[in-house]
Amino acid sequence: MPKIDCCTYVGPTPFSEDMTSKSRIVESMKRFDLEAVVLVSALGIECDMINGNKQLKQIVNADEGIFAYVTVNADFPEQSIEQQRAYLNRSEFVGAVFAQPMGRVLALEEVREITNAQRRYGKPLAFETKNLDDVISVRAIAAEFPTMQIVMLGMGGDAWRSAVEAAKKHVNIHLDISGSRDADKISHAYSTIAARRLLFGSGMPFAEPPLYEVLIAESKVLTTNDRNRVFRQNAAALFHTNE
Amino acid sequence: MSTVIDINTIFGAYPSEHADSNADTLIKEMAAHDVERSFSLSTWGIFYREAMGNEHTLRAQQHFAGKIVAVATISPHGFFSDATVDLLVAQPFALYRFFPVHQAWPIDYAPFEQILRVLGEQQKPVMVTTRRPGDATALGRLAADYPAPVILEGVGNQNIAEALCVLQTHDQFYVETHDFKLPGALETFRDRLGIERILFGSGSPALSVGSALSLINSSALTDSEKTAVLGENTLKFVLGEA
Repeated sequence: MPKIDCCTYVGPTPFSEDMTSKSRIVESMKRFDLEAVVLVSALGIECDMINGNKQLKQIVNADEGIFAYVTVNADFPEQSIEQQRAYLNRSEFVGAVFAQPMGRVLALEEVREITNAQRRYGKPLAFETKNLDDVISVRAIAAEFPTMQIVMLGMGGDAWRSAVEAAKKHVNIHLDISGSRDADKISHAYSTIAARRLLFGSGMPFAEPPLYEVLIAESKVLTTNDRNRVFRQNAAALFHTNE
Repeated sequence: MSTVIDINTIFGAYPSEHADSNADTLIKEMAAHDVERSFSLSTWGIFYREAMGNEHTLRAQQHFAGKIVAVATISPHGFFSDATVDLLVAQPFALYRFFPVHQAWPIDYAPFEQILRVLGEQQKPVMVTTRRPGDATALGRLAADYPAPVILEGVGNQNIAEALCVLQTHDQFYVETHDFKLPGALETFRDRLGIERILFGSGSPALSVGSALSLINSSALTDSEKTAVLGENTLKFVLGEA
């Protein structure tokens, strides 16, 4: 089944260069039957927003299904707004992602200005959510900006139940299923918020898509239509990847 | 087809996170994925009272004979005499597990050191959660001369380099795979240490055994190496059956 991976990092790992150039990304997409990917610049979120975004611009190509989040950084609101202006009018940049260097948890007031600016573009805002602190933080942001579509990348890590609860309360929250590999995670999320706001993602190259495909495939409560939604339709609708 | 032995399963109620993780669920998951045997223990031993948990575990081993291999746990917080360990050693446990992260104690901890000394005298294999940076390093120092297998559990993207260093220094150390995700990590452990130092674990039934198996089966290991990781190594080095 073709898939859209909405959490794919550009950058090397200690053992792999698979996601460091456009040709390697295209190869990985073929290998894992990915119709599209939404890239996060590891350089951008960990260190260098400006050059991370420049790097993405060289790689993205809507015709090849290669999309990206522009990186924004709460410590540099003016520069971030400049980055939004520079990239978010382009169809290949389908959202923005906040840098959270060294595991930083973002406070609502820190992201307010950039989030306000994001509203002009009508594109989602993504956050890496690796633990409960991240989930609580993003939940507050989602509550404050109910018309902004928010993506929790990594689904809260081990705090995925809290992520699901946040999504139940705030219908503007979408959950990328990468993160923990709990056996009951998908079924619980489905029974709580249905399939429409679940997005397939792997965190590639730090993990590979089959590890998360199994979670979808083995969830007994999902119908074939639901699986198709999670694997591709939800992302296509949220990120407008088919336009 | 490879014989699958899962070195890391835990059954029972959790104080948070996992709902349906009882022994019946574990057995169903094992059947669905052709897992022949699972090393397992009751969550009560980790989160509540170790004696009651260990008793549950022995009962599960008896009830699901040939499927569940009993694993004991000891909390250093409640360790007041060697007799506690001696009692456990006299019972049919194949492995002894420690949960410093769940129970909030450091690896460099006098009661744990004492427990290891008593278990070491009986040459019992141990498995320790080493998820926090520095845990594997501390365990390497504490169990440098341990005379039986020491298995690192909880090795993931964040501490894989540390685990590799520790295993390179100590031949009796092994690594369990449930938290492996980084492509190429298995192959790197194989190349640096040899395939025999890697043991398959899933964290089932709370965590997906299918996903854990997918990691091994989709890796670049050869078929014979996959067979070794999926069960042969555990049979040979932990159970001493091969």
